[in-house]
Amino acid sequence: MTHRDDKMTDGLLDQSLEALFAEARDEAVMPSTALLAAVMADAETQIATRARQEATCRASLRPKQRHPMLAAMVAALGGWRAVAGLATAAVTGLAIGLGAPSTVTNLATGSYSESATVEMTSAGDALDALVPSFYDLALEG
Amino acid sequence: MDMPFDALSDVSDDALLIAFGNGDAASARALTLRLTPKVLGYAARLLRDRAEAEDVAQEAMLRLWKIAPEWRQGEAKVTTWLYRVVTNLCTDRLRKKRGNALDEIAEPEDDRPSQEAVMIQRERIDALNAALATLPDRQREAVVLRHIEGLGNPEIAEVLDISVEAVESLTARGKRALTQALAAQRDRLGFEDDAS
Repeated sequence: MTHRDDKMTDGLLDQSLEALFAEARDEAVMPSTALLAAVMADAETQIATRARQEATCRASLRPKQRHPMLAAMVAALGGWRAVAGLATAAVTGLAIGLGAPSTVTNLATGSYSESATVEMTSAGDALDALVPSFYDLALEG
Repeated sequence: MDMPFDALSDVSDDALLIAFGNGDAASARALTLRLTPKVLGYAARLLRDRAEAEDVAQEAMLRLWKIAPEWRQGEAKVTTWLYRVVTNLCTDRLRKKRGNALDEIAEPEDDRPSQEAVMIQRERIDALNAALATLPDRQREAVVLRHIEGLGNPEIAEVLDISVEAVESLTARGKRALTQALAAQRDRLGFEDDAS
């Protein structure tokens, strides 16, 4: 009998608990205007912060501005294409000058002939004569 | 601050959050109006302290704003994610408050209108909240999520990071403990009237 009473009491309490849960569900906890404003302010701060970060990121990716003097020189020479042409010509000239000076000299003076070759050969011998050979050094002991 | 009506009521939480991540302030307003009451209600039930619940709600919403740019549609439910954040924040705060006396925590709020019916209902809900406060953290969270917030067991399992079986066990034990805690007050709370 006591056991049955306990079960009935448990059943009643269980139903009451469900009713209490329903009441708690219905009781809406409304946020204050101040809280809503604070949450919105946080959101706007986040938007502004992200916009700033993105602007900084974009600025770092943008090509850097050249020195104004260099830019003026390039402009005076006719732009980067003209400067590139000039640079190519300068490098080619330097290469020719360093690589074959005698040929260039001969071509420039118009004195390219067989005698000139002989002279060059004899000039080469003369140069050899200035440097002691191993044979000479061996003879001298 | 003038809060306009939630005009984006048909748009999902996911979509609004992604739009906010792309810098849309209107989406933030809609999410604020939609989610803050849920977050605050849940935090208030766990903490039983309005001021602290407001702090938790603001912190949880701030975390949501921060994660918005990385949010991927369909990966998780925004509310599930928020309930999890609130659960963790409340657990941290309750752990810090553990030094306080239980009576002090269980003391009902008394700042409601004096109308008799409202007072009786208030008393009943306060009794429920006081009984909830006596439960272990996990049981309380599971019971509140299941029976007051109305979440399904799989979603609660996700929020609490436990199995569905564990949720079922927690809610069952929690309800038993609540029944026992409220049994002593059943006359005062008019439980027999409810049952009849």
